Amino acid sequence: MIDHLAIDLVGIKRRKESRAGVMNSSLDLIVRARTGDHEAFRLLFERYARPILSFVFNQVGRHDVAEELTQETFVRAYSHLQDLRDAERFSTWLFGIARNVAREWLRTGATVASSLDVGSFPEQLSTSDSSPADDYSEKELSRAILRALRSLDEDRRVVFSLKVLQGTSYQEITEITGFSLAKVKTDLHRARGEMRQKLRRYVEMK
Amino acid sequence: MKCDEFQMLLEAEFDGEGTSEPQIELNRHLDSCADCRAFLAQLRSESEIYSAYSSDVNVPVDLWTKVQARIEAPPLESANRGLFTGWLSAPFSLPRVSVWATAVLVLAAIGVTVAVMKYVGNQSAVVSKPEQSAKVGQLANDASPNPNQISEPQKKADDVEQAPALVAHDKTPRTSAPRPRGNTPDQLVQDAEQKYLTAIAMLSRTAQRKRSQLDPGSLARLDQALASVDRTIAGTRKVVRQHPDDPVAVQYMLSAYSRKVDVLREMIGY
Repeated sequence: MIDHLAIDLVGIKRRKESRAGVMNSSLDLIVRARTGDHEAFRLLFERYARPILSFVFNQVGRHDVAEELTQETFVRAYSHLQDLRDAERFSTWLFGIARNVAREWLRTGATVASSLDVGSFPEQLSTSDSSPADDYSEKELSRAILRALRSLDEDRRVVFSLKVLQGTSYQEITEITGFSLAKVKTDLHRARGEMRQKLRRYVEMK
Repeated sequence: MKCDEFQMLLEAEFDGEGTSEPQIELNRHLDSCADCRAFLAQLRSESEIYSAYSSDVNVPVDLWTKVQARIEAPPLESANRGLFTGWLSAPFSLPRVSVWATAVLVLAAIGVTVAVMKYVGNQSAVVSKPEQSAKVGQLANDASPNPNQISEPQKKADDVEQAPALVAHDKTPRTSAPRPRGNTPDQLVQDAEQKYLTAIAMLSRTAQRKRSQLDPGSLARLDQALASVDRTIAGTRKVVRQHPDDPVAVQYMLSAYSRKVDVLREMIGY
């Protein structure tokens, strides 16, 4: 599913290259990138940068930090490409790196709550007095979702982000996180419940 | 089954992860439970707002430039930050093992070396009978073999002197009488290293002849791999010289030699 999300990013350039007969499946690109082909790795970056950035942003809550950590994720991936045993699992492997990078950053002392860019949350949205009908907009809804994500504990936030926001399968989530399938299902169920409580007003408006 | 359990099943179904077995029971429950029908409708509504949220992040145009700058930085740059701050730091930060564990690792490395030497022996047209007799002679302390009969170990030692810089800088005596084997881990390490150096020198000569037959792409790739391995060997040798009792360092150094043998063999096999 992550692959599906990433495919759109490649766009016209990729189609042009396909017409030119260039072999650009992810597997081909991984093989080429392993030999030091930076152009192949750039194409992999184009495919996966957005879902990785989105995932990391959901974990840390700050755009500037998410960009730094996405950068770190791809640098680590490049330097450890030789360790990737099954190239078909590149996507889950990459998300696993991203998850570790984000977790390391969070454990340096920065919590999601303290790291969130408070300036990006208008004050009226953080109070329950204001009417959602007045405040509602797509952008503001995104901020509300991010605030709700912030309130989840780390495991639930990871599972919820991967399943609901990234469309990752349960099996892939177990591979990325190392959690059991039962834990993934339970964390997801509870995370959905908590998110529902926080976003009830917006869902009802919808 | 309670509604909460049905709702977990409903979520799995909604996520496309349901199994067929409980589906009939689930549908039957949905027909009779208004709360669970409302729950399903809620899942659909939430899904709409989450999908709008997913498209809220854009990749900055200069992000790739930053990644590229870092992956194109020469590896030595990271070495300047300290030998163990890069990829070497994790393995070398492992707890140290006893001298006897070192000996076990070294014996394993020697096993690999023997296999390599057998391979090299097959590659070489030279028959090893003179070598064997020379060895027997040496072991029996038979001094001064005939100078016209250059023994195979001596030939190999000469080859080592002509090998690349890495090998040429090795200060280990090569033509001295064989040391008693298996006495100390240090001696075992030296023996194993010596055998790898000899094998590498021989393979390097054959690989040098093969270079003209390789296509430019493969040649560039193999040269890059060799350069990388040479850097690793240089780094690990330095560490082993500083910490000769560190079994992990020894293991990494011998693995690096083994990797160079593999790359050279690949070059020859093309």
